[in-house]
Amino acid sequence: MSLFSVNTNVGALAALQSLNMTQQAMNNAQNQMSTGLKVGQASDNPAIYSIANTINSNIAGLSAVSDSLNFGAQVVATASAGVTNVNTVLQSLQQTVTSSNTSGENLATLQSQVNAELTQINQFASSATFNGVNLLSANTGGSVTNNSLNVVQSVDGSVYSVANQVNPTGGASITSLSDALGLTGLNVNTGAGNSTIGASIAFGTGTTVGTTGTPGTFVQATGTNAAVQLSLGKGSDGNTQTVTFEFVDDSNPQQLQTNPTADNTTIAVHFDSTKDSTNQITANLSTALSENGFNVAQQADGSLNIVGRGLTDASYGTATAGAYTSGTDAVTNGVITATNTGTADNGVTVGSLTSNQTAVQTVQGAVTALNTISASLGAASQQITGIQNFTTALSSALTAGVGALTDADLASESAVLSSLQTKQQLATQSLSIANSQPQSLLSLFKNL
Amino acid sequence: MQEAAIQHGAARYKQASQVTLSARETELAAFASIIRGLEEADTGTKRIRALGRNHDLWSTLVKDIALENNLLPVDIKNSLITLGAWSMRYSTLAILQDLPIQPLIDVNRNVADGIAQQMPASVTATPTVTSASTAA
Repeated sequence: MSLFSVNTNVGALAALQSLNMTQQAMNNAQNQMSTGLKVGQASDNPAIYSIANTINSNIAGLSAVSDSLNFGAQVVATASAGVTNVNTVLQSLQQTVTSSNTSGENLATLQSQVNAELTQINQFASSATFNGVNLLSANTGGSVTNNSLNVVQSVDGSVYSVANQVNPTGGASITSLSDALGLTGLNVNTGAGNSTIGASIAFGTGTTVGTTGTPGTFVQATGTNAAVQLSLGKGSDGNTQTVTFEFVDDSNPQQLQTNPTADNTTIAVHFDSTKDSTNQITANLSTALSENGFNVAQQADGSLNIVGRGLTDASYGTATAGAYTSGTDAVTNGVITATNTGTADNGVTVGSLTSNQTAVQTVQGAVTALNTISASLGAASQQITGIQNFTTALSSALTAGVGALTDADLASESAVLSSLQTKQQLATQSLSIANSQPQSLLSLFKNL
Repeated sequence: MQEAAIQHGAARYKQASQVTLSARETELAAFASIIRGLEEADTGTKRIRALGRNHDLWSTLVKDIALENNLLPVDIKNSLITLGAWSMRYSTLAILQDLPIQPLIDVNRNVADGIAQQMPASVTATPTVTSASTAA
């Protein structure tokens, strides 16, 4: 890297040049390590390059290499800029899924926010295209003609390649950056992939409603209600938040037993044991769950699949004398389906979340995956920098052959000083710079 | 809108060059356009593109100078190749690293000033450009 902050004056020039040489010596050592190329060799042994007769074509060749390097730099930097934008979206996505664990958030709103953010991620990736090359595009097609990069790194035509960052193996399953980050289908309530992980509630085989005190009933005894309790993770006070649904038999009215507290909400699920079928009671519970912000889906087997509000666990049990007591045979950390009904002594079985990723974990995984892409692009950027420095050394060696200014690796202050001299030179003659092919400059305006 | 302005300018210069084919005017227009792009380049893709176009400008110039039928004196050729090699290298490095853009602007401006100073008075008055712009 050159020096920038020293004011331009003639007296400083010699000092700058000597400093620049010191810097370059350090850079050379670094380049040699990172590129494996013997950077020093080109400038140490200019004789190995055929100079005198082929100087012009070599300069043209070096310009072509420089074109290729610059093209590669633009592709890599564009991809890096895209990754930076995606990273910003990921931070926002992380906030969104974290807030889904907070009670009272509208899950439908959060989910549409998540969907919009996923769309944004893929848009940033697809817009990171430069001249048809996009390292963040999983496949070619449309405006993307290449999703990997080849850079000509020397006049002999050898090539440095940068692999596609999203789908390096070309797998058919990855079609976008959000696929590669494992985010596609992210459900604010669960993890990725539209899984149906959540609490699953089923009523036991042979459930008879209203037979007090008998297994398979909803009202167990006087003053006791069957109940389902859902845990929502920790609230702002650090305590686990719960919602307790108590089954209240309207034919034999009971008051709610579980005390509402700062950490617990108690909800009544009304039914009439003299009239209602099991299906009706299931429907009543489903309605109560929906009304309280949970997403409920009734499965083909009749069980309820519950997600939402950052649900972390669920159990069934009894509510009596002001407190909820988890059932003795509550099943934890396993998905309970309708086939597990035999375990329910009050007719209700409840599963809980399995070890599947939560939405938060999914996004954390995406952050890690994006960091890997970012590091890979950083390495490509360093590699191209190294090749560029090597090319400069070669260029110095070539221009030395015709007695040109040999210091092609000027510090920027020196370059500006040098350009002042060039200004004087140009002013004293009548030819334009590109006088052999003046039309060639017009191509610069072509893509504006 | 700046894009539109630049496109309009480019169209003007194309028209102008079709009429007059002044190589120096085209060169000045190219430098002016590139300098403006660099001055307006702040961050992200805009900066990358501006640096890329600066590289393209110098690459075009250096390739022309490298041709045998370029009639510039050898000392000017050498100066320009040296500046060009620096500008191309610096552009690429500035795309990859956070380097200040101002030195590139200063160098371009000095070279453009050199071209402008050598222009005959009749051409510097830019009558062709004015008529082309009113026609457009």
